[in-house]
Amino acid sequence: MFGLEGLGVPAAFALTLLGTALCIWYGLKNWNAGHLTDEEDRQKQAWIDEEHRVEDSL
Amino acid sequence: MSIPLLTSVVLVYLTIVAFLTVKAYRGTHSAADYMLAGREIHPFVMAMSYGATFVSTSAIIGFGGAAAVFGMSVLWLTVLAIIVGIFIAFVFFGRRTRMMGLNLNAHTFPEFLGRRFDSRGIQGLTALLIFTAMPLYASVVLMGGGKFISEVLAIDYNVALFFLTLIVALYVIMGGLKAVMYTDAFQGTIMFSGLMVLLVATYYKLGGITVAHQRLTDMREIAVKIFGAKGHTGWTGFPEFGSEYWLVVVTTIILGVGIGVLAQPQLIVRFMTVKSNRELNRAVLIGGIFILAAVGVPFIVGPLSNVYFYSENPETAGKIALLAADKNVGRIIPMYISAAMPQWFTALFMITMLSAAMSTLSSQFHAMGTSLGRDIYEKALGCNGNTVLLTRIAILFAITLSYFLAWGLPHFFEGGTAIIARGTAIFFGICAAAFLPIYFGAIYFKGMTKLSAYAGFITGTLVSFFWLFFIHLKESKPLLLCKTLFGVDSLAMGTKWALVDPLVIALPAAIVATLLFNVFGKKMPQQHVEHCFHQVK
Repeated sequence: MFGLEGLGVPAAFALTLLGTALCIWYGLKNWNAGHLTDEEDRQKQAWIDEEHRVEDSL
Repeated sequence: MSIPLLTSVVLVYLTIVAFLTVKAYRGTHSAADYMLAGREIHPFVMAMSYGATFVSTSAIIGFGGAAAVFGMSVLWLTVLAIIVGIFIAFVFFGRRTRMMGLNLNAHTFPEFLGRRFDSRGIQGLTALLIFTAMPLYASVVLMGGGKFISEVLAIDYNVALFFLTLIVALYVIMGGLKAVMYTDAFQGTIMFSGLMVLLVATYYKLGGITVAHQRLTDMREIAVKIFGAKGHTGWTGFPEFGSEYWLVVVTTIILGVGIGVLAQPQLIVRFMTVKSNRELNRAVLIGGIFILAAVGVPFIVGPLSNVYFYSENPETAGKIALLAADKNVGRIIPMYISAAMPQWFTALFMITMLSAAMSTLSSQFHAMGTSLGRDIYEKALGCNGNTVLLTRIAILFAITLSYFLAWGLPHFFEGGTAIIARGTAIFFGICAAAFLPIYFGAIYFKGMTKLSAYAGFITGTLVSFFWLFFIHLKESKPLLLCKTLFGVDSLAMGTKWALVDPLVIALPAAIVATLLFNVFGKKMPQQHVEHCFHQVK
């Protein structure tokens, strides 16, 4: 197939393309899923504030 | 090559890198900025940075050259790089790592593990392993970049090495992870473009996809005549099962790197640089396409270079790639580019290689520096100080160490070229054995104990090093320790065990140790575990 012999290398070619297709499909399907939640945002801000406090104390 | 053309291209490239460095420097105000790029990285930048860090000159020159010898069977590494390195890594590891990292305010991979198991010892030990093993990986990447530059510009290797190190050092120390990731994204874009052009040009030159493959398949008898004793069955076939080449291709190249990618500290930390899971979802798409080109193209072009050298290039007619390059694996791809591609492409490829080297190096230097400054000095040893300043000093130390290794290695290992691909595989293998069980357990098993984390890490590390120093012939022979102590190059001399990669033994051993010691260890406090796993799903 495509000038290749045996099964090992043609299978690798096919799986390489299928793997990429899987990544594209997943990325498109979940393009807008998993947006930052308010709780995550609060947590992040809390760590920033704490870091500022530590830096000030130093 | 046209020197004015090359100089112009390099100058434009360096100007853009400088601009991105200044932008990152101005936007870096805190330890979180310096070590996690402020947790606000765009998915494109994240995905390209992840891919560009993974794919170095080792992958393109070293593994591309190795593919010219072993054939297209190494494309299985591309399969693993896409499915394991991108899809599984981002979807099943990345999301949990990001959320848990935020819960624990972890800035580095060792800190992530240390806080998950509430242990400064684990943080210190994992950082120590990174700091001791990564210089080898960084030095072979430096070598790959330095050798390519010295070959293309016809300058001394040491001069190329010095300036490459200096440029990367400047932007990593100045701009921290923001500079690393911004420049990675730019360099990744160049790599993608350069490699796609290389693929299309190669197929075009050799008569199209099927014709090119068929011409390579028709060279089967030559491959078998030269490498048949080691299990070669042709450049478009898979090596004979259980043969020497099969063991190298499967255990070292495909599994060593393909599984090892899941446990790379410099890659894992990138999951913690994005704002939300949405960015990770988007990065899966971009990363998958990038890796297809970056890991796939060298493994197709490398084997096809045999057709070019054997029957297209009058100067090397009748010679396969390895012989055309004077048996120097690391010279095959640069020679192919110089001989087969037009001048303008040589300039583009020079920048592609520079990008591949610099993107990986910058991340390695950053990871080593944060391990030494943040994890060992500040956390494990409990010494207080300005985190960013300490990390900058530690990065400088790591860079100096890697530079001297890259300077010395070519004198030590068989012309210094085979070690480029091997150094990468060694590091990936050590990381997989030492980190994968503890990392997987940390994000998936609430009941995992501190004792089992220690057991898995220590077992994986010790078995890896034992196998490298005393069993795996490719390393035990040049390392000389086995010869000094026991009078033989390998304790498994004359058996196929001497060809089996450390990963194949060390990773299962680490998994067994982790599971076994989990029975005896004391459970982590429930409140701590709930805090770690809050919103992790």
